[in-house]
Amino acid sequence: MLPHRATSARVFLLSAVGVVMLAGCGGEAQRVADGKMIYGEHCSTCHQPDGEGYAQVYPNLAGNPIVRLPDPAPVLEIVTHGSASMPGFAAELSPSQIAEVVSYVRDAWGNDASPVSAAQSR
Amino acid sequence: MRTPRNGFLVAAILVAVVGAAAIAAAGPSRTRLAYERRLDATPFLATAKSDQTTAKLADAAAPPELEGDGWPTANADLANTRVARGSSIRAGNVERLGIAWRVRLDEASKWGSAASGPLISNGVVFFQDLASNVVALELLTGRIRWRHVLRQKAFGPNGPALGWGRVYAQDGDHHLLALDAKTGTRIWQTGLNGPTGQQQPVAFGGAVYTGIASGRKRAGPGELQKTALLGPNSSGWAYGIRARDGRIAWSFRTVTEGNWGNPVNGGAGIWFPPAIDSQTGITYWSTGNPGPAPGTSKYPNASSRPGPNLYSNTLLAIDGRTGRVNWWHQLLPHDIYHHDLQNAPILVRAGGRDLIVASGKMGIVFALDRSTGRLVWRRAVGRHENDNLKRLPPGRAVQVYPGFWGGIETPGAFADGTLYFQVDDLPTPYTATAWDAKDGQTSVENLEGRTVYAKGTSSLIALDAGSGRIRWQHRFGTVGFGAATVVNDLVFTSTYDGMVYALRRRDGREVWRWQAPGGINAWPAVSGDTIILPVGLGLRPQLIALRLGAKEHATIGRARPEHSPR
Repeated sequence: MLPHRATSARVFLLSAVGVVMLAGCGGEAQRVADGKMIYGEHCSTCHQPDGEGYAQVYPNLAGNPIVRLPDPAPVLEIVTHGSASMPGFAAELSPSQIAEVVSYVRDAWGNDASPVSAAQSR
Repeated sequence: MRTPRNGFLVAAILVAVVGAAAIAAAGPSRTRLAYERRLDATPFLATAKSDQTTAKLADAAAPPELEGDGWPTANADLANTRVARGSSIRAGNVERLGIAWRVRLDEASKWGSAASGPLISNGVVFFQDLASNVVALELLTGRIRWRHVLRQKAFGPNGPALGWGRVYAQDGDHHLLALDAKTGTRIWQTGLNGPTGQQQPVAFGGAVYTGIASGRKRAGPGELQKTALLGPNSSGWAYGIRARDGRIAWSFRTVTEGNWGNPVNGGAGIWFPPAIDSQTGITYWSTGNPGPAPGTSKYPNASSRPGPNLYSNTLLAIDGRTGRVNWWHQLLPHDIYHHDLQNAPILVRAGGRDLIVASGKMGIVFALDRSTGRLVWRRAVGRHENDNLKRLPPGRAVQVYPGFWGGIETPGAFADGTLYFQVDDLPTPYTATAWDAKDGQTSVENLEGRTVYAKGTSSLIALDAGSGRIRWQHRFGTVGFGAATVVNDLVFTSTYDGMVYALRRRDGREVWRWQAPGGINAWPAVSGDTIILPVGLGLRPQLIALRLGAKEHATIGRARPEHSPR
């Protein structure tokens, strides 16, 4: 029985880890998907649906080195508090929503940077 | 609050019913024309009276600030002509323009730091940024005399008005403010029926005339009101407010009571200052489009708002002293494309007639008889594609010109029998539900977010004011929201990417261009040898003074001619 119980415990543990991992992956994917919705409502008017922005007016986000930095802090700071002629979104979006939209922007258009958690955007 | 009496309502309903019948009877391409003809056939398009005036306005009198040189109103004068008076800038010397001073703009809203024009009076520049802050600067040096700091995000186009030693401006909440022009100190503030920060007022005859684009009940005590364009139950409002103490003399709700039968509906915003006939005291206002547009998931193709949707896309002639509506003419009934008639109307004398000229995002210029409201001529300008469709097919996107930010977005100009407008050829993909919008506000967001600026171009057109005939057209490779500004033999405009152009008024030939240090979604004021230009987008938003002979050279050389005369 002992070996069996040990195996069961191992299976349970592995399953639990798997569920957590799946949930984590799903969470990230969901965060990016939610971020895409937020981007469409709050960002794409200026930065445009393809993230290319508009010359002299709105900076491109596709391939933008600040957006792609390993450390998301600078882009979170800009979205939260604004920069130059871009307003901050702290009053309109929650930290969780800001994390979602920044996760989307860091993922989209080949940017391939890591997602951001709500804790990081606080 | 003031609303028309029952007689007026009956007349309005009658006209609406007849109009709806005309719409039903007409083919798709004739719909609008048929409705206008019906209105034109009516001896008096509509009249309204009110005895609910709460504060008496003074007899017609122009503020002293309007005398002499300078740029004392939003569009230079009460007629909204955007013509500089007494300027020394002309085609022969425009290349000598250089940067005299710059002032950084530190705060921003959705549309950057600036989305309107400054005023200039007696050597002082007055400007309001998109955080609603009002600033007074010396024209000569750019030295700041005072700032009235509000830090309230505004949608724009906002901006100040001048009169009797005071500056009037909307805040980014729901008030009109009066400030001391010498010190910036607040004298009074008056609450309006909805979010402010979307209209530049004008002062005349003891009154300040202002309007709001999206009025509705306040969200909660202690909170700033936020703009919710075309939000449920919203309406535009026009106001005559006593300049002395801020008392509301009259007001006019631009959406009829009941919001066209469904609380999801709203719109008909007031976006720009009225034109004022200083001889008669009549004020002429343009209203915006109805919403939701084209519709929502629940109400596709504007099915929540059958009928003409009065008084959206309407020119209103209102007696500025009493608030009485002399006549109104709805120029685009039951719009489904966000095709506002939003622009500042222009008083014109042409072809032996007194006209009032209206224009907007539908890409059409309308000239009406000023005393009767009857249509004299209309001219479609720019590219038109699928904008005559009354319904969109279910589940399929249709590309429409003019798009959400297409047509005539910003104020035109009038000089010597010629009208000048900047026109945008910028498409938007529309669906019957505005991409599954849940209300009018999300219809705005969904369509804005799908309008790709890089797909657009713009042009400056010159029209004969007596007939609407196009005299010339000058094309630009990018979109533009820079208005038209006449300075002697030149007409200035700018494109969104920050290129500023001076064209020769005679034939549209380009004589000067300059790349500003950021994008431009605003328009200049001109006085003497100086142009004050807000450059509100990009990484260095700023207010710039361009002056003949200034040291920091603005010219980048004579540009190649690009115009295409017609």
